[in-house]
Amino acid sequence: MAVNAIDTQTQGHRATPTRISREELGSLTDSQVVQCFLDGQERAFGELVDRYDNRLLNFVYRTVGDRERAQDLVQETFVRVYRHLHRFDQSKKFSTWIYTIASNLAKNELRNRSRNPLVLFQTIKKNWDADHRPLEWEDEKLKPDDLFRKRHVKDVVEKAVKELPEHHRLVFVLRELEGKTYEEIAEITDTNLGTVKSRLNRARNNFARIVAPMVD
Amino acid sequence: MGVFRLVGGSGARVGSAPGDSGGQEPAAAITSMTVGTGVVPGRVGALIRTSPIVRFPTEVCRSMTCDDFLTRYSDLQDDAVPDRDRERLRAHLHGCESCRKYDAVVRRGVDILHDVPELRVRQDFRERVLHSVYTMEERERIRRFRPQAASGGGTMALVAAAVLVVVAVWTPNLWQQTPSVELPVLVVNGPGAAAEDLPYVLGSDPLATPMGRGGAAVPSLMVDADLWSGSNVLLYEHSPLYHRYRNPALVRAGLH
Repeated sequence: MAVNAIDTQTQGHRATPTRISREELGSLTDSQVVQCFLDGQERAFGELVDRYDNRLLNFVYRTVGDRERAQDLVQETFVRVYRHLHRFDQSKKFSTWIYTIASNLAKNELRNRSRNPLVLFQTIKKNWDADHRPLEWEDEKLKPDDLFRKRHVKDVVEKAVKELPEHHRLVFVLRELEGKTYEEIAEITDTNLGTVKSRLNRARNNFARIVAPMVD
Repeated sequence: MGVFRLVGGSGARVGSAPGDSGGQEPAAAITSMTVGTGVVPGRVGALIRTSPIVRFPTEVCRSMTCDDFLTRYSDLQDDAVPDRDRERLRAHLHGCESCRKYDAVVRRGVDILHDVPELRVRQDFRERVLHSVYTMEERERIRRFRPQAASGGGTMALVAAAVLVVVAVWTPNLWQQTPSVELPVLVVNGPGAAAEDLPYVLGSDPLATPMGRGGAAVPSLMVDADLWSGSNVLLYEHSPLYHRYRNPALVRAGLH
């Protein structure tokens, strides 16, 4: 296994790990990359960033609905990972742990936003910008009407997710878009399985109610 | 394309909303229901995934209401139900058009959601993260080098040390009286040589002529005679200088 290649060379009383290449890091599992980092391979942290940056960005964006803020929160997530990785229980999944951190930051953001009207204004402004952006033609074969409809349906579906209550939205995104299991969702959201199931069911019901007029 | 086929009866009543338990009551004549694999195109091409052809007993179809189905819908979707329950749920799904519609809407909605292009982080995201980490580490390092200054406890210790020093310095004075110093008596017979030539004025009269040592008048160039005459006198009486020299005293003039 590649992780076994990380031998340590004894120099006097200190043991320094052999540098491992990016290609080798790419072939390791999350747990192995984490172990590499804990063994002193600074490069392993970059590998974790590469693996999770876009996934976390989409997850946080779906939760907070603001791209720039989502990016900041993902950055903060990685800083926290770096600081506390030595405390990570390696018997558990790294992805669950990092999603838990990102989820907590997203929840804090939503809580702060509800207290700060300025952020709400920024969100409104962003939505206004989105509404007024030029139409992008994704597929030249389709007629403009079809393209417009397709785009509109996508907007409605995205909006439906945003309209879900916060705790429903979180489990819905984790299940439907991130493909997490009930157990993982329970751990990430710090709730029990029953709560996850009921929230997910309600979230799906709400989602169906909102999007039904468009996709039916 | 749809190959849903009802056997032996007129089929379930359709057109009711999910949750309306009356909507899925099959006719009494139905003895079994056969459903097949296929797709039911929605308005935007929704696909309803169905199981392979299977024959459900009528009792199975009838033993579940739409409310029950909706309650357990998530479990079915996520394949988290026991086999027997799964059969019942599927049977209900195939027998109830409103629940089938509901299922199609959810699946189609999620499919569309998956089609939405994913966001990608900024190009310099990795550098930003590493920079944040570097900054954080630097801060930590500085804190480690200056543990007392950085922590509140260190500041308190400094303040306490300062207080102790002050107390140690001043404590002996609290118990000891101020030492008295006796200076030798100085006997003076007359003005010093340096003061002899200085002019002086007796009393508080500003118009008085300055006198030199030995009673001689000082030349007028030293004191302007018109300085306190006329309206200037009034000005003088309201000046701090007047009040200061109101009582008879020896006022030296012309010191310039």
